Amino acid sequence: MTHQQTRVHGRIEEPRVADVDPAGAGPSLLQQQAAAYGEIARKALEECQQGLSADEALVRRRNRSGQ
Amino acid sequence: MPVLKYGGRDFELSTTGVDRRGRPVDSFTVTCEVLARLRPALEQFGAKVWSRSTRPLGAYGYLYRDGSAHTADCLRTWSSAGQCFYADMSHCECCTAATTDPLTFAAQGISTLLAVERARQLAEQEADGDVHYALTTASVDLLDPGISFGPHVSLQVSRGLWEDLLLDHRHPAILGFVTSALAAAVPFFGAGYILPLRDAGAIYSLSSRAHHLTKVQTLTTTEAFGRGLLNSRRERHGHEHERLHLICFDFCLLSAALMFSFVQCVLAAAEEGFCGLNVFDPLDALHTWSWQMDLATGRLPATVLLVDGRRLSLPGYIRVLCRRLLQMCEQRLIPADVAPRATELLPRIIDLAAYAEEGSLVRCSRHLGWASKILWLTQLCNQHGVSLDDARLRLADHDFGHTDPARGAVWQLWERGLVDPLVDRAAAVSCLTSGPIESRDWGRGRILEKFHAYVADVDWSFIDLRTDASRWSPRLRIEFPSLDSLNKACFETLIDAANDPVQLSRRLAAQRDAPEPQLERSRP
Repeated sequence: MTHQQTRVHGRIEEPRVADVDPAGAGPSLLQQQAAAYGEIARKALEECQQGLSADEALVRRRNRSGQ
Repeated sequence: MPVLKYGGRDFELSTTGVDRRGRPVDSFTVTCEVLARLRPALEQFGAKVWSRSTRPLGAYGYLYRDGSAHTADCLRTWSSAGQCFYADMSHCECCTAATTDPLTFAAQGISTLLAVERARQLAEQEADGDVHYALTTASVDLLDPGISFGPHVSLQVSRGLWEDLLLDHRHPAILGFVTSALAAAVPFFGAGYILPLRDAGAIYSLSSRAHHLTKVQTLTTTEAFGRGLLNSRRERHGHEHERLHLICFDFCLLSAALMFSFVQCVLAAAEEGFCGLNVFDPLDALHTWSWQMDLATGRLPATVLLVDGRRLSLPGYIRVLCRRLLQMCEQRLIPADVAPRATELLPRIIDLAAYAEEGSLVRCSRHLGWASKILWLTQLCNQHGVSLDDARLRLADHDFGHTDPARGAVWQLWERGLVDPLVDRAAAVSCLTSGPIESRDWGRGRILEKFHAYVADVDWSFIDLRTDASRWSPRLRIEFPSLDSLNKACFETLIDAANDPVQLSRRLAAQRDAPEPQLERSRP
């Protein structure tokens, strides 16, 4: 990456997206949606790893060209 | 006067594999294995398929395995639905049929994913041993952010606008407007990406192509960190119009219809001479808007400078511009046939921009890919107590759009009604059997289906038919010189009534030579 592209950004270690929805959805709906996302996240990641560690998967599933 | 905004997508998929010993399978091998199964896969959906391997043996597969990365036609597989699948830069690439309808544009993209996923499953089933092939809509390599494979979008524009943007810059303010609008559209309709930084750590970028977009225009599409907002490749759409090739977007599965409608309106407005809302530096704006999401609040607070002295955030810019475009649609400066459904879709974008201004990611996530993905990544961060640059997060990011519904979170979120690409699965499946009725891709597909045994060659603008089944048969070329050539409304009866290629060719010639009816487009 070029210096120009990276210089303006500090490092962010962990996202803490607030589960707030000022537009009107109630807390229970937000909690339900967050729970659904969490459940899907857990299962799908296991499927993505396909028995490999994530580090191994990163190395072995490379795309070496593009446009 | 704006011209009809036909558009389509050609996009490379992340194409990878791991064999039973855990060794990588190179991308081109995976591509060949998938393309070799497209014929049975598409036939399961009711389509017919033609490729150069179709005729010699009448069986799929053999030629692909003998092919190489240098095969002349890139292993092209043409479907009777007007779509095409091929190998590009070793990746599996899908090309949708051209349409003017944003919802069809969205359904087309999803349909091609359904097709290659069926082929991928067949390839895995037929592989020796426990081999896993992976196709995803991610556009960046898992480890190297310098390797990007873009989902390209093509739209028909007037010759005057194309030359203004890419050749003579006679109206630089219009170039400024179009690039400003694209600089906003790229992140707003982005798929989201964990962007690794130079030393360590990562940030969340709304666009997965932003770090490659550093020039206003380029001819090449492959230069790392050196791609243009506008691509100057000139491949005309017929005698009158040009194809504007945009290489800046992500594969935005959720927001495809909204993005397409937005770009249709922007280009139509530019053809009308509109040049307001110009930002001072479009590329700097694109980066600022892409990279400065506040992960603590979900808001997009970063502002950029406009030439009129205002500073606007990304949601603010999108909201103001969409309101202006909506006015132009309502006043018919942008006609309904040029931007179909814009009066329905622009208000949705305005609502989403308002939600983004409030930091309401849950509401944004229904139609915006980056919002949906960051919600999902946040859940993983919380479950595992890790940061964005953790390997599990990067893998999850990459496979968010995996074509396998068991692995691609986006399909599961869609199944549960948490996200909405504004089309349903049935609409996507229907794109696999017939092309958009307003497009030449419908005509090419219909001819391919009806005269399949006679097809000798296919390209975007023609189909060659043998007059009989012998190899030495003379060939007739059916040409599609413009994007509406041989569309359903004008040519269905003629194609269906022809008994053989000679009759088809003669009837088409007779119709071509007949005086054309004078059609007038409605104007206010």
